[in-house]
Formats: sequence, C-alpha cells, structure tokens
Amino acid sequence: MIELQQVSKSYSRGGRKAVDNLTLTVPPGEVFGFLGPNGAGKTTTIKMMTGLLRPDAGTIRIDGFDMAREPLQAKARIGFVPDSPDVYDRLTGLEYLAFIGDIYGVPAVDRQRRIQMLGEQFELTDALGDRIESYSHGMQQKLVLMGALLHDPPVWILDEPMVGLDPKSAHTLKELMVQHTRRGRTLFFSTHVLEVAERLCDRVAIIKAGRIIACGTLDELRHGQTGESLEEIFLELTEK
Amino acid sequence: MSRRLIPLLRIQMLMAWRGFLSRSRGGRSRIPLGPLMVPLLLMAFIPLVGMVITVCWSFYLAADRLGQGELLITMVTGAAQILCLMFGVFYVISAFYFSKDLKLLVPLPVRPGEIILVKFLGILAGEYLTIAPLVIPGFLVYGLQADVAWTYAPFALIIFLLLPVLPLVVSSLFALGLMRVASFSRNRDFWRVAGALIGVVLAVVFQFMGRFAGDSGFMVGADQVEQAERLLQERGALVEAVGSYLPTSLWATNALRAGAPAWGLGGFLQFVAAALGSLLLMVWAAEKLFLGGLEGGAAGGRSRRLRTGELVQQAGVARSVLAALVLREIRLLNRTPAFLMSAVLPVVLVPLFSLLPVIQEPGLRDLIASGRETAAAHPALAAAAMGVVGLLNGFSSLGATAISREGRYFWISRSLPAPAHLQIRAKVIHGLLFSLLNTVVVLGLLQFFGLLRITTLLYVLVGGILLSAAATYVALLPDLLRPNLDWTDPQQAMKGNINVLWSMILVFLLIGLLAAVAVFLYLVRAALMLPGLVVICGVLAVVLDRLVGQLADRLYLEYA
Repeated sequence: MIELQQVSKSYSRGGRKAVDNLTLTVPPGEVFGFLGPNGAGKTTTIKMMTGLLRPDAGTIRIDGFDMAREPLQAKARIGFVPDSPDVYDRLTGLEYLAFIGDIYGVPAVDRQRRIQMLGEQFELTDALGDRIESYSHGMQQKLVLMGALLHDPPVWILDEPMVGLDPKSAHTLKELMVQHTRRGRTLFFSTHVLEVAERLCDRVAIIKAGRIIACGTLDELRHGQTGESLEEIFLELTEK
Repeated sequence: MSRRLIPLLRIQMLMAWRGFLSRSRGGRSRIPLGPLMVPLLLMAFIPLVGMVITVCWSFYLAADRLGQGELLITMVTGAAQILCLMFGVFYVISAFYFSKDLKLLVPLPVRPGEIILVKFLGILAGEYLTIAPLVIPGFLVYGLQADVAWTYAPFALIIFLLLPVLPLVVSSLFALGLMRVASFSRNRDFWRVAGALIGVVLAVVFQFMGRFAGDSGFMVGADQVEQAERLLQERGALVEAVGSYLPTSLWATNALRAGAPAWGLGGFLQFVAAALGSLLLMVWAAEKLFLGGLEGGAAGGRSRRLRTGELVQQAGVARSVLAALVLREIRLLNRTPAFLMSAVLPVVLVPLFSLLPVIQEPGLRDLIASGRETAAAHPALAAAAMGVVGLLNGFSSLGATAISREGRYFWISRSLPAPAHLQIRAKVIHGLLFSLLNTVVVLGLLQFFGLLRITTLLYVLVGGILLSAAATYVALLPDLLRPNLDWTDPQQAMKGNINVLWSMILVFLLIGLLAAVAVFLYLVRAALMLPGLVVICGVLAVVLDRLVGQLADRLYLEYA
C-alpha cells in the first residue's frame, strides 16, 4: 500500500512548485500507472516516495511506514528503479547484486535462487561476471531491475522501467508486474508508453504542473472526454 | 587547430565555472554556507600567504646583500614548476582519460589533439590556484623591492600564466605514453596506477638528483671554499647554479631581473617559446597516442564469463550490512585509478621525502645517529609518530571526499535501508585500512633510523589508529555538510574539492590541540603522556562516531 497525503514540493526556494498538494492511495493488488508530460512532477513524486527527496509538506506512507519518521523500514519494503540506471560501474553485476542482497538481508539460499531466476528471465546471467562499465544501457537497466526485485519487496516503485529494455525483457517485466499484483502486492510505475499503461494498469493518474488532473480506471477517465484510447484522453487532458 | 576549438573550450570552461559555483553554493546541502565560503576561504589563506610573503621578503633581503636578489624569482618559479610536475601526472591522467564527458567529446568532429588541448587548458586553470599563493607573493616582493624595468609587470603576468605549462606538458607526455602502453595490458587499471606512481617517484627523485648533480658540479673536484665564494660573490652565479637543471626558471629570472639587457626580452622570448613549443609537442603526441590509450579506457576492467557454479558460490556468501558497506568502499576505491592514485600518494611520498635527504646528506645521518638513544627513549617520539599517522590519515583526501566520491551513484546509498551512521562508519573503517599502511610506513621509517622500541611500536599502532579514526571523522565533516556530487572528472571529487582544504584545516587544528594536551600531560607527569593520549584519542573516536553518525542520519534525509 502506498499513501500520499497532501504532498507538496517546491524548487528554487519555493519559486517553482514541482508537486502541489498531491493526495493518492495505491492499494495492494493494483497496477497503478503514473502519467504526465515531461517536467510534470512524476520523478519528483517518485523521489519523495523513495526517500530521495523530502517533501515540503504532507506525509508519505509505504506499507504503513511513514517515510519521514521510519525511513529505513519504509525503504526496506520498496523495490525501486530510478529513471536513469546509474549503478557502480566499477563493480561486476554479481558484486552489485551481492551488495544489495547483503544490505537488504536476503538469506544466501534465497539470493542464489533469485539471482539465477531473474538472471535467466532477463538473459543477463552470462554478463554478471563483467564489470558494469562494459554493460549497454539496456543491460544496466536489467541489472537495476534485478537489484530492485532481489529482496522480493512488497512495493514496487518503477520510474520508466521499460526504457532501454529489448522487447523480450520488456515482455518479461510486464509479466512480472502482473504476477506481483496478483500476489496482492503493490505496484506503482511511471511511463510515457501509453499503450503499456492502457494494457497493464488497473488505474492511472495523470499529473500536470505538479497537480493530479485525472485519476481512475480507463472507463472513469473516458467520462467527459471525447477520446477513446488512453493516448487521446491523455492529449485532451494535458493540452487543455 | 581549428575554429572548433573555441566552442569546445567555451563549453568546457562554462561547465567548470558552473560546477565551481554549484560546489561553492553547496547545492546538496541545506547548510547555508554559500555566501560565507569566499570570506572563510580567504581567511584560511591569509596566514599561509602572510607566511610566504614574510619568507620571500627575508629571502630577498638576504640574497640582495650578496647582489643576487633575483634568486627569489628563480626559487619561486622553480618551486611552482616542481609542484606542478609532481602532481601533474594524476590530474592529467584523470582529466584526459577518466572524464565522464569524453563519451560526448570523442564522437565530435574534432581532432584528438584538440580534445587534449582543451582538457589541458582546464587543468592549467586549476594549477593557477595551486601556484598563486607561492608565485604571486614572490613576484610582488621582487617587483616592489628591486629596481625593475617597465616590462616587469606584463612579463611577470605572462610568465605566471605560462609557468605550469612545461611541467604539465612533461606530465602529459608521460601520461599519454603510459596510457598507450597500459592499454595493451589485461590489467590496465593496475598499470595506470602503478605507472603514475612511478612517474611521481621519478619526478621527486629527479629533483633530488638534480640538486645533487648541481652541487657536485660546483663543489666536487675543485677548491670548495673558492667555489662557494664564487657562488656567493659572482652576480648571477647562484641563479645559474639553480637554473642549470630548471632552465625555464633561469629564463624567467633573466626576463624579470632588474638591469637585464633589453629589459629582459631575450629571457622572456626563450621562456615563451619553450612553453608554446612544448604545447605543440603535446598536441602532436596526443594525435598519435590519445585514442589508442583511450581504447578500453572506460571499460578497463575484466570481462569474462562466470564459471559454472561461480554464480552460486559468490551469491551464496551473505555478509553483515557493515561488512558489505566496507567492501563496497574498498572495491570502488581500488578500481577507480583516479581515486586510488590520490589515496596511495602519501604512502609513497612520505618515505621518499624522509629518506632521500638522509641518503644524500651524510651529515644528517650522523646527526640522527648521535642523538639516537636519547630520542628513541623519549615519549615525545611515539607521540610525534602517532601525530604523523593521524595527520597523514586526515590529510589524505579519503575521508574528506568520502561522500563526494559517490557522485551520481549517491542515490543508491540514500535509497538503501541502511542507516546513514553505519554508512559513515564504513567509510571511516575504510580510511583506517589506509591508516594501517601509513602506520607501517611511519614504523618502517623509525626502524630505518634505529628509533623503534617495542613501547613505541605499541603506542603508534594503538594510538595512531585511534587518532586516525578521530581525524577521519573530523575530515569527513565538511564533505558531510556539503558533498560535491556533481563532477565529470573524478579529480574534481578529489583535488578540485574544496572540502579537502577544509578538512586539512580541521585535522590540523585537532592535531594541534592534541599536541597541546600532550605537552600539558608531559609537564604534569612524563609517564602520563602516552597512556593519556591514547585514552583521549579513544574517547574522541567514540564521541565523534556518535556525533558525526547522528549528523549523517539527519543530513542524508535532507540532501536535495
């Protein structure tokens, strides 16, 4: 469960409001898509949800833990993929995953099993002995995904997770996302690929200039709009 | 060179300037030190500049009595060039081969020589800050005291601007060759670090050998008294002696000295021609060597398939959170040549600077031998050795850049469910591993001079480590308050990081304070000094662990 209550964040000493009084709840078992044009406040919202930015106002709870008061407990429950897959390029893929396993306290047996399973699913096993600096952008994205999912977190927060993935890996990720929510767990992801959002999401929110301008199921979003597809609705809403 | 050089240079300078402004404002911190930075920095430099001016003034007066006041110019230009030469290899390798913007620059339709020239000019701008506190006071003192020609000011300005060129070109040529050769090796990173360290050692040894050769040329095989008198009495003889192994200093002196023929134009032209000629040589060498050395530069590490069972074996080792954090620090430092070179440098230079003078000066050896027994038994020796270990640890940029070095990967540390105080403790433990190296070096030197006793060994081991822990926490403070995470060249996180200067000042104050406490304890009761110091260092380390840890827990949440 992810709960955001009246969350706001400004940059330039209050001169520019990136997120404005945002309230949102993502219950378990739901695929939640977070959409919006560039600079709308998606990444700022995600950074606040994962503890990388502190909100100016409001509260964020992850599985019941307040990110401001109990950040370590909240972070331990998140699997996070940032918008750009920057990981320690001097480590090998396996060293990075072992490090993440150690920090999240993943038992050795579970770790072996999950690294093997995720490595095969994302076809990265053969490259895990190489230094990350030799990886392509897509391979780094796969590694970040593996790291985020290694401790089997109940809450996934993914910022543009499909960027750089080859079609097969993107398909694998989509399947994993659906399986995750079928297990009664929480999934929040941002994307610009509206077809993916339309196909996967139970609910979507559209953010513009830091404010949620629409939130609901696709049917609910269609209400009052002329467009049929999510793309048409998105364009109608964001170009108003 | 082409018209493309100007936009290339402009964008590099713009990036460097904006990076400097961002670092000065402390963009990742809520601590509003920005407006206070410039006055605070100036205040920190005032004692140093004041000291240099005093030394230059006294030196000029003494040399002028012998009719050789211009020796001041020779000495400051020589010292500045040696400084640039010694550390140049590190900066050059880092800027030429490990800058993050190379992947943008190399695909541009510009020549390798142009990329290198632009990078070189960036390093040059940084070197002005390094040599300014030494050279400007020297030039000012001479300009005000001597009866200089009207050409003095413009020539001095141009000479100051070109002064780091030749030593940096020498460093660049060495770096271009080293990286080209290292690119053939499977273990490139190792050879890059080892080669750069060898370069620094050679530069230092060259200075000592040069001095030795200069001395012997004048003093050996002739009537020594007569030669010494000639050096002191003959106008310009000392300048020529010093300048014999640093001709650019000789030319700079000839350009600026009072009463030089044709207002020093000859010396000035020689100096400028040498600097510009060396630049052309570097550009030519870059055209031949740069891209070859760069190949695999970004992907310099091993690349191999995992053996059967290796994945299972490696993934099956579970460590504690602290152990995992320490291991991360070790791996990232050891595998980043630009960082490792800076961290290892004191370990190499300290014995070098300590041993070379003694090896060359038999008189010094005799002096040490005569006071050996008294010195070895005195508790001040162990206290001083502890202090040196602590100073070395605090002065190495490891602690001072511990957070800055994470750069764009800092998001990982901040999103981990590992408390910030534990992450800081891991950084300090990592610093202490280097402290062990420093301790071994200091103990080795004591043994070399015959000054090591078992009690000294124990006190230096225990006290040195505890003091190093305290010094590392103190060194970490500026970086914790204002980490410099936005860098493109790894050296910007190390050398170009103002936090290193702040941490040096803080560590110096800490060691000074402890020295005062040691004197107090000694005066109260001599036997109290060493145990008392060890206890105080231990308490300090524990208290600082708590305080800095608490501060980190708060600040890690606040970085924007």
